[in-house]
Amino acid sequence: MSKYRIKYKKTDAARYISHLDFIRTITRTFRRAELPVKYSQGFNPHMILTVALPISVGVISDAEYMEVELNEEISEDKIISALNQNIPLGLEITAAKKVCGEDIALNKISYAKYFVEVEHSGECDIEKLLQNETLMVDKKSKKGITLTDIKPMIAHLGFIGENNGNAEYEMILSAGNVQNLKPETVIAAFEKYGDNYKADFISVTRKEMYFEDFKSVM
Amino acid sequence: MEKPTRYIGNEYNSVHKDLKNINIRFAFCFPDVYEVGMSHLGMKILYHLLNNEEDIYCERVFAPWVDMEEKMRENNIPLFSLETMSPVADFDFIGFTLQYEMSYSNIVNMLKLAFVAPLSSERGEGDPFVCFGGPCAYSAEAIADFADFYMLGEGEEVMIEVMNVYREWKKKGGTRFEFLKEISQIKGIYVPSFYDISYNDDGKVKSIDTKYDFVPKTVKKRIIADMDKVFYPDRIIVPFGEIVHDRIMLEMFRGCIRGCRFCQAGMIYRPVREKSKETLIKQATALLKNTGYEEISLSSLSTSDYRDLKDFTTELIEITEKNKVNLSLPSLRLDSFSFDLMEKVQKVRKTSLTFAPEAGSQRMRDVINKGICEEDLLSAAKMAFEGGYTSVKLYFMLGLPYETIEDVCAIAELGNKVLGEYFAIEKEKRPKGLRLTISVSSFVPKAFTPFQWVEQNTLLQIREKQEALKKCMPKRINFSYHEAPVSVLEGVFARGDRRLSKVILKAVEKGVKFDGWAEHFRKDLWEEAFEECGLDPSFYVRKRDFDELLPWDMIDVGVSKKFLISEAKKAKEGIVTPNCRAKCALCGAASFGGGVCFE
Repeated sequence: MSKYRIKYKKTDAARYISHLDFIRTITRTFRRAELPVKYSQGFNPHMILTVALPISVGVISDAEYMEVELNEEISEDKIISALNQNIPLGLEITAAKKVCGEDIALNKISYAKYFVEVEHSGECDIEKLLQNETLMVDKKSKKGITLTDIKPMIAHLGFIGENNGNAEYEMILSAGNVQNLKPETVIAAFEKYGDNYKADFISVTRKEMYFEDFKSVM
Repeated sequence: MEKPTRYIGNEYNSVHKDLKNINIRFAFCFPDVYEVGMSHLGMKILYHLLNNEEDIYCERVFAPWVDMEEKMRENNIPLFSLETMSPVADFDFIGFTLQYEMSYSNIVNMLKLAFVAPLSSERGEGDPFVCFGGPCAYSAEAIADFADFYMLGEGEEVMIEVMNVYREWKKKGGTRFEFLKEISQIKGIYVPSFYDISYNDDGKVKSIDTKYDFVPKTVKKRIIADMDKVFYPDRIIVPFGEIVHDRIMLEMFRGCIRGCRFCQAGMIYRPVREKSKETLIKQATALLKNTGYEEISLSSLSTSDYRDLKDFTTELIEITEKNKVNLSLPSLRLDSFSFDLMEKVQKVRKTSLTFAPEAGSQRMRDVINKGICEEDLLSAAKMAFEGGYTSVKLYFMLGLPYETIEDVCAIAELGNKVLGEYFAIEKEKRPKGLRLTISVSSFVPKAFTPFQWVEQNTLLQIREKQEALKKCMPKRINFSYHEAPVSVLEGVFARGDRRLSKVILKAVEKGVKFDGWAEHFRKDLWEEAFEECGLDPSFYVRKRDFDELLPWDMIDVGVSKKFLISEAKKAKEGIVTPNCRAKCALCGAASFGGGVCFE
């Protein structure tokens, strides 16, 4: 039995595929690709598949990760090509590797890097913003919406530039089971602390995910 | 917005073509929401059939759900296709499939959303042709004013013939009239504007006249004679989101030998034509490989009537087990063979079993020619309980012709006897936690059935029957029924004439849509629309005489009126008619020259 970690993209209209629909879609892709995926035992056998931090509906991602168990060893290249020949448009497998003992577990993801494009009025100086001791914003959590200091969850925040009047930002934010910050909440901080800053989202793209100390997932 | 994957296209096996190489664009429209439309087998077949032609691009269009429609209107976005996101008005053809009457208002609403004039008389040169097909098309006079033409019967051949004429016509650059004239010569093509309908003072049809010499007096439906040779897709679109029937549908045969008198499908799909076991196995194998689906369902009007069922299922089960695929077996007659089969298929968990006796008393079952007796049902129930099934559902109809209150209460008695079968099994041996459900719907008489002349029960009559049944229903049984104000409207459209087109147009202007969805049905708006158009719904659900000219008399489904009248008379007497394989009833379908009539 072999476990594989697979990196994939979710772009264009495929960004609207929800997590559950993605699982259904990729399961059928594995079946069409005739890869020997291991099934669970029991009443309702299903493929043993885990997805790291499923992305919100509507967000583009260049770096999603899943793990799957195969009943036999198959070369990474073969897995990538078999899947890509059978996958719907907008989804693409970009890398695969066999998981070995020393690899960090997929559920230990700590950071995600985002590219954010917004249409905005008003200004927000990021340097000045980050000089604040705390950044208290309403943040949604399992307990509901609470006023939270999000500053410790921002690892990097940069203004890339203006593109056709839209502002582009790069953000590396805490992600995962312990702490998770969405780019939307950062933009909410811009609106709260900035100078009459008001924004509408053009697009959000997850560019990459990292383990602790920004170690690579693959 | 709810479920955005309804609108994004790009599903696996959807067809992508370069518009530069396309000569004919066909918008295949299903007048309901994506999950319903994508479950429809006919669309899957015809989509791939048309796209097999190099210069034709068939794209899919569904009714946007109400949240999306609101956004589209707000932002002035016209109705669009899923493949290329093109406005529907840009297509050569806008084809609607008519699966149920309650989708008619959505057709008009979709045309309006597409900025295409709903009335054929208001469309001009350069506008798309609007065409209808599907099982309701034989008697869809209620929407005749919206159609340029109808394609009657099975579409695999006739659609291609129409496309061939169109290709030539487009090259020559003819008028709309010339195109319609030319296709009216193709068998199965009905051009409603070529017929004049006149009415008597009492509202009944006085005459149906052809407007030109070249117009056929009657249009006969098309069928596919050889089901082994006809096109069947080896791949079907695999949606992202879950649809109503999210599985492969393997069509075993068309038609039904049973001849239940209430059942429109049983009449209009005649004669029965089967695919061979070899064809089915080949198609199942290809579809499983090309879709990755984890479930396959047999599709037909009555699975048990497939002649080679034993050998076929044995081979199919081998394939499904090897590929970890679930096999579902709908519409089985509940005999010991079926139980064995279900046992083989459902190794793990016993799901619920459904029986459809349709009527409670033997007299009523004879009236409707439902060829099962109480003994069959009770022995099936016994087998079910002994086999470990605990959830059993029984389906019945209320409002059948010649039904008395005794017949209605017989439903409860039958339920009680099924309970009796359960309790007759020793306590230790029977499965625990019985759930017996009786569900009743109300009967709507349909055109081209022996009941096309009968009066439909009013809502009040149905309500009284429901109340009476509730009173005599054993408490141990879950009794489910629902108010069905929509069934009156269904009855009106099912036996309507083309004067109803203006009512539908008016009702859509008032905002009706998705009438088949209880939460969207607006009885009040429909009543206003009828009133303003000066038409009375009760006129359409009344009893008719055999010699009355019917609004759909220019259509020939193969089953003769003579046969339907003789069946109607036998119904009144409670005389049953044997099934097609037991004895030919001379219905007329033999004129197609194939299928069960010549087995």
